[in-house]
Amino acid sequence: MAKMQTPAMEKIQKKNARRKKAYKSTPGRESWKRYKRNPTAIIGLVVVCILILIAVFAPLIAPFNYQTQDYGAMMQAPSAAHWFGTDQFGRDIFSRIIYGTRYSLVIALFCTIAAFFTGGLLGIIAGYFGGIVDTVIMRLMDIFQSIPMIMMAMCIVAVLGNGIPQLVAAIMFASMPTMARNNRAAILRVRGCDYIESSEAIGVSQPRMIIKHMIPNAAGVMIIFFAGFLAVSIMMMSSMSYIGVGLAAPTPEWGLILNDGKAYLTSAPYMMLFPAMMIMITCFAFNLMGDGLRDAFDPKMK
Amino acid sequence: MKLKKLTAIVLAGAMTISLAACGGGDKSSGTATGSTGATATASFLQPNTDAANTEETDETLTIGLSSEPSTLFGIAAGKTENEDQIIRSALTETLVKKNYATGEIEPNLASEWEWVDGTHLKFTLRDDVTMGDGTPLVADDVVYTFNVCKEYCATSDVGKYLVGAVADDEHTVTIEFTTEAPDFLTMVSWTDYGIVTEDEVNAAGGLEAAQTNPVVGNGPYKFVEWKNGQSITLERNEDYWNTDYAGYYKTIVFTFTSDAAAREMAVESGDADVAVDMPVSQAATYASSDAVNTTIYSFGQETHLWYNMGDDSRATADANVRAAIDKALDFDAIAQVGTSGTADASLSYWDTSCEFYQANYTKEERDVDVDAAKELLAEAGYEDGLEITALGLQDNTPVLTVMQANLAEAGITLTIDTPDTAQFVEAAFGGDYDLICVGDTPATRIPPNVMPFLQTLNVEGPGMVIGGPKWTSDEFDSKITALITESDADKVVELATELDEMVKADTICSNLYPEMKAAVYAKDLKGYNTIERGFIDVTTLYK
Amino acid sequence: MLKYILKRILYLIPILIGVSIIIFALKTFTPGDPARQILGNSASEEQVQEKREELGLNDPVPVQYFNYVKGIVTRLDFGDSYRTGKPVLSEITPRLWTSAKITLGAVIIGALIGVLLGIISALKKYTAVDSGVLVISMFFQSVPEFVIGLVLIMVFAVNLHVLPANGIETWQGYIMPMLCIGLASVASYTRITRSSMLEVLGEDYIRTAKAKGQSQNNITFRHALRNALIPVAQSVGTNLGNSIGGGMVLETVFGVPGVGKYIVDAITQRNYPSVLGGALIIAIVLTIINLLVDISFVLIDPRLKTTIISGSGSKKMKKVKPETAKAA
Repeated sequence: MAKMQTPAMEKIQKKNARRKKAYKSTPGRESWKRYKRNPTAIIGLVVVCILILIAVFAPLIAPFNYQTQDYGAMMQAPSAAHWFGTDQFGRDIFSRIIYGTRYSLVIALFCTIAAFFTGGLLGIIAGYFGGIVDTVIMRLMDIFQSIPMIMMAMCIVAVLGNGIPQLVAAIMFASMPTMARNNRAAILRVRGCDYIESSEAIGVSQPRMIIKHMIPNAAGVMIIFFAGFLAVSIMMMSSMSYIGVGLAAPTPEWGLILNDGKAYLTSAPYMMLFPAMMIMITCFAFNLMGDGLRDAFDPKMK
Repeated sequence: MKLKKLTAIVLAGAMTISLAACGGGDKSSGTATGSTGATATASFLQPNTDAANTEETDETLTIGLSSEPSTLFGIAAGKTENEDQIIRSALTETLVKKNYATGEIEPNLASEWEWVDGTHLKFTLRDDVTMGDGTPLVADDVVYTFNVCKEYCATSDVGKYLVGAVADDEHTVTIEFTTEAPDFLTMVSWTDYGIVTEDEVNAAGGLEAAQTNPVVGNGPYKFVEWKNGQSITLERNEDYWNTDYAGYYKTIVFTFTSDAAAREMAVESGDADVAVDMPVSQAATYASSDAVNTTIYSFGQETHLWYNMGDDSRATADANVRAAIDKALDFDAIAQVGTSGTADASLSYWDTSCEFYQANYTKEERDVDVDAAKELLAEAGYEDGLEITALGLQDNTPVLTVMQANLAEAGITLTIDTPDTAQFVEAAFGGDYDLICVGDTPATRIPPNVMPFLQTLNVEGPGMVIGGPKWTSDEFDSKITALITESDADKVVELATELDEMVKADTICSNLYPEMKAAVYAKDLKGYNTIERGFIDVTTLYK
Repeated sequence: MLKYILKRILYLIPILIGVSIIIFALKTFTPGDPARQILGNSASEEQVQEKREELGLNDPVPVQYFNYVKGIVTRLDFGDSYRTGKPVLSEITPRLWTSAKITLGAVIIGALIGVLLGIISALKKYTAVDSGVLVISMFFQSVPEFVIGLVLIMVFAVNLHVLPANGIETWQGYIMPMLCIGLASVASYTRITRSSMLEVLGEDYIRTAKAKGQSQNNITFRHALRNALIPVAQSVGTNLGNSIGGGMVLETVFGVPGVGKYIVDAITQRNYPSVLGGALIIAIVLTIINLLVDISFVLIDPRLKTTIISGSGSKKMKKVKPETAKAA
């Protein structure tokens, strides 16, 4: 990025000169500055931070144990004692949702990381090496993409059975092609840049090139998809819970709580309302964040 | 920029509220949400109580089934499917009928019957009955039907106990069974044994084609159309032989909606008149609804918690462990959750609808006793805790969740394994579990129904049962056989009580609760009746 | 051109082989014996063995796979459903039409709303309206489709009694499934429309038109929109794939007898011939639709010939930006 000498810049430079350590204008810092200016993105970030805090401090926030059943208080509407009401076992829905934040976020994170390290890595390799490697990997991904994600995930759960690791594996496989495609595109953008071509010319080794130069420069675009994918994972989990595959009770995952409540939609809508709202708020926040990141890292894209 | 920020917040807030308001608004239209769903369920209805319909109209009855049947002539495919059973009960007629209000067997196509000996049952047919193709009913039709059952259902309960049928003359027929059981007479009243003629099956295109084009039988309704994936349509049989019967609806349409909530909403919105096969937990919440009528009823099936005893390496092979679990379980809570508060915990292995039912436990004996459980566990060498798994269908999850909480009190860690149906069957069949919840229907004393999990043939033989203890003894086996073959009422009670005692003494299983079935009906509907296994009778509904 | 079409059709072959291998592998690793499932639990071991022999389940997996492919190639035989015993193809064909109608309606609804919102937010860029549009479109992307589906049933069927709760016996039955699947893709269309509109509005010819004194409406709709819609239309293919996925869940909610529900049921029933057949047919349909979309572009606008026909790698680059697929 060519630097321009503007009065503002000079001011910043003067300010930096006063600091012990010189201020370096890295792509990351520039992006953060752009991100900060985007109010919706900040809302997204704040909500995500709150969710993370809820997940971390779940035991302190939740008034009840998420597993404790109370047969004297089954299916009660929201009240002062049970803010979100109770379910068909008399379990406090508020506490379940609070703990559910932990499960849902962590599972979504694992899914995204797993997808990144399989599909994403394949995409990076394909994008970097190009040629036959690219063709083989991407044609393989084309095949995977021809199977609808939810169908792929269901088939994999059928093989592996229910459980958290199985669910992560299922969503990982199902989302591999999209991840690969996105990362490949990100790498291809960077690849065309002058400095990569020049480092190639001076003979920088390949792994070094990928790790030291290309990934950090493509990271911005990758992070955008990472945020978006957290939302996708949460939605996938809830859809799978709805069909009845993936996780087993009594895991307080939001999709499962939602699915429990679905049965009482007309008679006790609050049972479905609150988990649905949590899923919505979370996905919304991740999507807002993703959108903000898109603006921040890649202003040309918007 | 400022404005953008503000609007975004306001809009996001509005969206959230609109969803909340949407949910909240619906609350008022539904039931009184404030009352607890499970305990305030006194207002659900029982089947088999309304008077019979006497009127015929041109109206259409729409019934929401949970899934599409794969066949409408199950015996030709060798399988028994719930949806097939419900629909075909309107298309075909059986030799005798069971009156589920009185429990009596009543004449239908056969006017009389008699046990010639222990295994031969002779029927005298009515001579004024016409079959679906207009020909009069003859003994050969019965012979044909039972031979199809025997041949095509050789591996299922439908054909397994049939030796064959012989026509004595045009209007008498003798059916031979493989073993002695007076209640085989009840079995003959099941829809599976609906009489068809060979000619009409051939006219429908043979046994294979009749599965999708079941223009066979002489029931109160006739098959019209099967729109694949969408609906099945029946029409009133204007030439129905039984003139005492009046079918209120001219047309019956069956639709398929796997989502129970959506099925119920179809009734509430007026798109359907009946939602069949509702989960009881869900149905109980509609009991006080003004929009629909709900029936919740037991149908003679008891749910038992079985301990796997087939493998000595399992902790559950130890009688002390079984007794400990039995002591630790809160049976009232389990029954409460399992039946949504519509039935109490069972006090016997046998269902209360059995004519030989006697309570074998007192209420106090069923109370939770965590200390006794811990003691028993210590005696078995598990004072430091025990880890076991329970296998169940996804429907069992609520009950297993209760057990998990109960057992945790006694230091037992229960892992719940609720795979999908296919994997459940595989695991249950192979004995891959410590605990399993399965039900049986002992009210009809025929071999597949009376303690099938403890019959030697089923435990060791080719037709292994799904679930159960995977263990039995000669004593159990011979007592069960005696109970099945006995025809003296007093002796039956005596044998049943002895068996019940034997189960209790060794804690072979824990008796949980009577299984409940539920259906949701449009508010103005009447005439709720059931056929075998608690399926709804679609031919008796009226407004 | 013909050569290109041929090439694309040939390209379908490795995809189909790949898809069938994946599903076949999953089938092989899935616990449970299909023969036991067909016959029920009371069947004896001999009968199960007999059935296994009949279904060819005792052959080595590669042989089974070869026979399956041979059946498709020589007889167009996708196998028989384990559940009904009927040929999978004859079961799927009528369902394909149902799903096609719903998906088409959904794409139209999604694209119409999406493009409209996209135009609005592009014209009012960086204003409150712009962020309002962003929030609305993102709302539908953030709620699981089945929740929207159930809420729609509750409002329009149970409370207002204007639409049927489930089934597609009447044309009204199509409305809610179409709406539900369509709404989920609104966000993606909005985003693409907005960005390509902004790009086009900055082009020289628009400025020229402005300079020549053409009205704002004229510029927006005659010049800008026409060009801006090209990337939108190109994204239809990707969105179609997502809509089919979304349809799998929603067809279950609305009781629609489409391919999606067929496959979901087949997976839960371990009815693998139906799963395989369904997967292959979806792959074929998706590929053909993408091909048709591309061909129609070349026919409409010959300038695009170079972008589309010259290599798929460069095409992907020029084809707007990669989209994060919506789940399911």
